[in-house]
Amino acid sequence: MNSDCDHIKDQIADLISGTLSEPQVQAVEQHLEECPACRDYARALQNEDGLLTEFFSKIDTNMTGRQERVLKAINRSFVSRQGDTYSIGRTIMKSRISKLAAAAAIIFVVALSITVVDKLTSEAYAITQTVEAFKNVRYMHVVRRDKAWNIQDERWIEIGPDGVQARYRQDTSDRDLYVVDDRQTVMVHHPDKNTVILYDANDKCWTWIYAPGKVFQELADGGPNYYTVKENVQYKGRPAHHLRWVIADIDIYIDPETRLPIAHGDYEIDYEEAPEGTFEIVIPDGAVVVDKRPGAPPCEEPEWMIEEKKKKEMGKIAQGYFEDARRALAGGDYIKAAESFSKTIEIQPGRNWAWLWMGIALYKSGDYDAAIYRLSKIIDAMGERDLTIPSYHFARGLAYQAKGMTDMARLDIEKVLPKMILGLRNRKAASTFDLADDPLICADGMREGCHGMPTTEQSIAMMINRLRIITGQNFGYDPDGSAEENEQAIAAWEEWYETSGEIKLTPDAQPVPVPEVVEEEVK
Amino acid sequence: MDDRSDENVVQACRQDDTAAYAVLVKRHYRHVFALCLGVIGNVHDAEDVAQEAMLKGMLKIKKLGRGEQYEAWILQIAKNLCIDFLRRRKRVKPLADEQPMQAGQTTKENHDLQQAVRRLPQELRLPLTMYYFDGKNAKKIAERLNISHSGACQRIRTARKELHKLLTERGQDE
Repeated sequence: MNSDCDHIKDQIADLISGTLSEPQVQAVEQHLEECPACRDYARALQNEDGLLTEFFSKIDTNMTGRQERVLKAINRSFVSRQGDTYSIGRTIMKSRISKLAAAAAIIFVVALSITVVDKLTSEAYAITQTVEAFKNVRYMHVVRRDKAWNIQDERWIEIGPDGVQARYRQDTSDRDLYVVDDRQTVMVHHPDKNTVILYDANDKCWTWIYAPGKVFQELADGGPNYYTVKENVQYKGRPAHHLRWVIADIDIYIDPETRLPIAHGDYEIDYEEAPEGTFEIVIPDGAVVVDKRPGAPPCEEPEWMIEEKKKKEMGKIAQGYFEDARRALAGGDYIKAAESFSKTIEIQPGRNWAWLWMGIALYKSGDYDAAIYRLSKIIDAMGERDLTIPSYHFARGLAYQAKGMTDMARLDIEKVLPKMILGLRNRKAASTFDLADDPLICADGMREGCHGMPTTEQSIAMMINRLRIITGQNFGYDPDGSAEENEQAIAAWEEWYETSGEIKLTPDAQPVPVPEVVEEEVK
Repeated sequence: MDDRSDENVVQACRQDDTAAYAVLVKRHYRHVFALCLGVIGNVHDAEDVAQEAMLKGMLKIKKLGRGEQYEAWILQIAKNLCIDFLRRRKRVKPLADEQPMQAGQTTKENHDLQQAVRRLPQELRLPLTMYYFDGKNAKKIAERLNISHSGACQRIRTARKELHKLLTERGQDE
């Protein structure tokens, strides 16, 4: 075994895969003649290749049967589509809202005054045009469908003159949740529980996007770090502009004529006037009514609400463990932190931050295998589109590195590097890393023992330190230096990323000092 | 064997020719299945999701702009469905151990291999699975996963090395 062997091992893997060039094949074969350790390694990989080939070919043997099953399913679907036009129509009309919509179609009124359509269509798209267009919007109709095209979630939103949600209706059939808000009362109907709960509109608010114009204004203010635009694409056969909300990882399609969104993530949007009666509160016949409005006579709550309350109590217990764990992690008691996060997850398995911080606590306690296992579980479960996923990959990358699995570490770090570079200028991109590093941050910084988000200067310094650990580079960022010098340092990081971006894991890199927060004197 | 191009077959499908869609199923189903298997790691679930993808492809084919892009399009549909599936499964059975891939009769050696493949992270399991389903052709995998050729080679290489580590670690533990 000599110093070439690590490099040769990569080439042995490529040799088995048949992706090595002819001169490299000869060099590897020559090395194998001289090196018994690498010869054994090559034999082992060759053997594993044989096992994998056999393993996958066994799975492959049923392929014709699978194809036939697919074709049968397609035939069934085709036959039912051809012969069942009536039943499809009937299914659609089951929706209460669709019935109202059909009735209202006769008196359909477009709420938008689009007088400059032709002119706008030929102009380049700017997001501020969407902000402007929203000023004329009075109604939004938002629909999410399942794969069979059935409506799963339908919302009607009336927008007030101030640009924010006024009246609201939500029919979320896949969660058995129906809400009507007429600005006085909010009615929440759970048909599966045959229960209606009434709230004062000042106490509860359901919403989809509360102030759509404001959201797009914030996006416009954020600039190119927040969004990208691709003009003149197709959305389901319609011409559209594609607006990608980078940080939120959401695809939005804009109608080139009206400049309004026609799709937002999984939802499709139109702007027709809500049918008469949409926002009218009608208590379903026979429903148990629980009136929680001020002044309403006391009433007995049904069993399921009592159960929900118990669940909430369990949630409070989980929250207690979670808070203990956060403090333990921040205080350096990593074993206690990991235990308490584990207890949190036992009660509430869906708490992603508990999984992440448990992984970090295990990593910091030196239990790299457990850290990798836990973080891998949550990464696989969450899918790549989750917003917080970069911090999970970063944490797992460090754990892989600590375990000496550098190839795996690189794969994780490669995934997060673009977001880290972006985070040098963009607070939102950096925030997932900042939150992961400091479990005592809370959104408003007002809870006891918590504090708010780091300042911009702190956030940049922390990101620089993370980048130094994974790249071994140093472009001279100094929190005490001048703004001009630091701008140059950030530009140098960006240029490095554009031209090289080479990962060199350097856990011992000297960190730059993170500036302290200077409390403002109270006058 | 139908030698029409995908573009011509898609054109026929747009005119409700279901027989034409059968050509696309026979031509592309195995790649769709391999992708689902690589992402989900379980044969039965991969079969379900791959079937759903092919069905969705048929229902939406009139919206496919360019017929020659059918393969990239159907693979993207499949990938999105896999992500949806993993999310749904997370909601229903959060983070529970997955059922392994199963390939017929299980010998101990085969069982170890199944476990090791299952333990690979998704970003390595997917290219490795497609490699063995795709005639061991890294270039094709790069095209199908929309990554560079060197990127595909790197992932297959890393997958082999990690798999070897997992298999030898397991051997040493016992």
